[in-house]
Amino acid sequence: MQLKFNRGPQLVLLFCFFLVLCLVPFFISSFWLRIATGVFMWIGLALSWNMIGGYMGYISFGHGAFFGVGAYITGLLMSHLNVPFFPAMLAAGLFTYLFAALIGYPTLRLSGAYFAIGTWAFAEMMRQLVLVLKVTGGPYGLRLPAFLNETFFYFLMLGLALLVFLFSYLVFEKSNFGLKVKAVREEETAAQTLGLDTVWIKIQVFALSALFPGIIGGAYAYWITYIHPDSVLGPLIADQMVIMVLLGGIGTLLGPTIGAIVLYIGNRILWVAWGDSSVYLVILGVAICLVILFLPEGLISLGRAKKFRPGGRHFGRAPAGEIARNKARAQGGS
Amino acid sequence: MLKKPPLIKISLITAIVFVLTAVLAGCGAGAKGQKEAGEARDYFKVGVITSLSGPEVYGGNVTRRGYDLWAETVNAKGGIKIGDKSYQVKLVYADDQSDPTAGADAVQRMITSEKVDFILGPYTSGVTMAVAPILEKYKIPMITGSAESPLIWKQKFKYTFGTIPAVDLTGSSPISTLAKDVQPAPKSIAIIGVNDPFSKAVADAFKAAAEKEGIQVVKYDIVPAGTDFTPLISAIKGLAPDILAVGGHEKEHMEVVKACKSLGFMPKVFLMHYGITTPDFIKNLGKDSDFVMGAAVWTPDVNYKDELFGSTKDYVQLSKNRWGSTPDYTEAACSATGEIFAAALAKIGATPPLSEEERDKLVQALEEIQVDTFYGPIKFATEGNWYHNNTGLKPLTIQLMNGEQVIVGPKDVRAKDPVYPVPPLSAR
Repeated sequence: MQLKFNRGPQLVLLFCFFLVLCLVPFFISSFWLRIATGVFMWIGLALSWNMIGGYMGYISFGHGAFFGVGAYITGLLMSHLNVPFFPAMLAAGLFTYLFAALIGYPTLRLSGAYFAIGTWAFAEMMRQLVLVLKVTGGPYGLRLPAFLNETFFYFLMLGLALLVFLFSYLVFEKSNFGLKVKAVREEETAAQTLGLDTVWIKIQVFALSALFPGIIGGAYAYWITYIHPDSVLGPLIADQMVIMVLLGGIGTLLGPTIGAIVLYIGNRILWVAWGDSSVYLVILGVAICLVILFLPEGLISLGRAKKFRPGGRHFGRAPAGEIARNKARAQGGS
Repeated sequence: MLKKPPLIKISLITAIVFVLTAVLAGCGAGAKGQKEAGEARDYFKVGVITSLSGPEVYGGNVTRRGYDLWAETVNAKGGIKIGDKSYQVKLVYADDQSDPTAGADAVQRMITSEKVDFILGPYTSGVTMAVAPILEKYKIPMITGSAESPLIWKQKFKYTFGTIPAVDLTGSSPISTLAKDVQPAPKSIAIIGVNDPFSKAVADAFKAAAEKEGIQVVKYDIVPAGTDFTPLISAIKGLAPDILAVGGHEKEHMEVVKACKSLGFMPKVFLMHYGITTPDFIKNLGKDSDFVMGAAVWTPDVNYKDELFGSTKDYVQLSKNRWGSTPDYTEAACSATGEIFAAALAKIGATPPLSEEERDKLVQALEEIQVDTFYGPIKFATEGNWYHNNTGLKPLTIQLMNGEQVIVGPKDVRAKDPVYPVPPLSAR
């Protein structure tokens, strides 16, 4: 979706939208505020995964590890070295960024299923590492100083989600770099022939897509106050990011956002209604199956009626003509 | 023509957000509405947070059976007697999905939307740790009938209590039985622990107790779950320890015994915690399960009495009739947890719904309480490393004999003398 900020009425609407989000904490109960906080956290995570999975087409099952590493670094800095929260969280993001670049250097030479397996193995390795290290508390987990201000965490996660959204918009939807990334996705060999340093592009995208989960992981650790290898480094975190993106619509800006909102709120609403049994999980599973069967391009394809599709307006994978245009522009920009 | 669509879309999204906000606000208002309606209720609303889905669902259901049996029994007898009136108990469940985040969401909902009076706590120690700080904030008392990690009690949460003594309180009991009550006393021990919070704490407890009793620790290894034990056992075989101790669950214990049998290694005794008392362990290993030693605070054979359930035997029978299986110590602890709350409520004479002041009094009453249940005497520590953990129970040493759990220590309560050294696996 192309948001044009220079249009008056739209700017007003966007401002209203933002205002509503800022007013939310003052109108809802603290339980629903927690849910809203969780929603924004997952929007941030899904959009981060979308950078590598959607825009670049590399399916990573290792992104849960960056979330967990971010959580642990923030936790360790805060509980062992008494570093204040914000510097600790930013340090965690910086670390996961550099760490991902390091991990990406060998693994991004793999493609398809091999890359997916490689990242999955990396995530499992991190979980086992944290389990055996003494400094992380091993299987006992790690406790952070508790700061129980729900409104603070709401605004923190809202801010982080907006940051990832804007970043995705500017870097992947609006810049030449985004076109290069899409060129790599559509036809890597062709992109190489056009003179793009594809390995370098891939490493950059992988590192960027790990930066935000690291930061969000830090925020999560401070929010929940207790982290354990199984809760922040388990395979479920990465799986959920993938499912949210696929559910909403891969490779788009609004798709992962919608996927995160629907899956997280759906889960919690069903949980509230039928929480005394686990029937709700079956309902959720069936719902996801239905979407994937009948809307393979995600929920976002519901809103993509034909009349909204005149030239240049695209959500998902670009049509063939556009790819060629993108490549030409990418070449011009490189 | 191009200008219109984005405008429509943005308005659409804004509309959706407004609707969503309205719905959320409605939920908030609904919660407030419930509070007003709840203020006049004449029953205790009790929140239960446990794992009804996710990897820990088996254990979660064990806790649920225990809590349910307490509520059903107390309600059948008229309810909790406060002064001269009895109040029914209504349990409200929330699934923590075996995940601390969902557990924290669940407790927030219990407190702010459901307005529960107190909480019966989670199956896992991880969820307990995530929930406890929120209870501190809202001043809601909770007793967990299951969590056993020693780490919880070191945090000194004011509103969190635990019925089962932490593993570092119970794990030492078989070691001291072996060090003091058998001849010749064992001189060396090899310890294997699995890499989960509970199992590692068990291994640590074995190690600390062995060092204290002067038994030499010849090997101490913490391994990931799912490890093949064969190479480890063959390394231990070379060291020939008197005791082979394992911190894990029934699955790992069975694997260790099988690996020892196949490698022809026989220590003078196997020491294992937890899960050797489950029917699975005994059924799967048959005669090989005999003489395995373990620790417990409660077995279906102990003999305690209380008003609600009668004796331990009555409780076991009641549970068998209701659920079709013999309760283990976690299930029994969960039932006892309800009794502790009932006793403390009766003591302070608080009627539902509880005010903040009454909940603080309840915490104070829990700190002072000394109550006898079918589970044994309950008393919470009020200082030290086991703050708010039940230290009233005597840890027992048990040994399996002919498929039965027999109490073999401490000396003053044992039913039989411990067998040591035990007959080799090949000669049974």
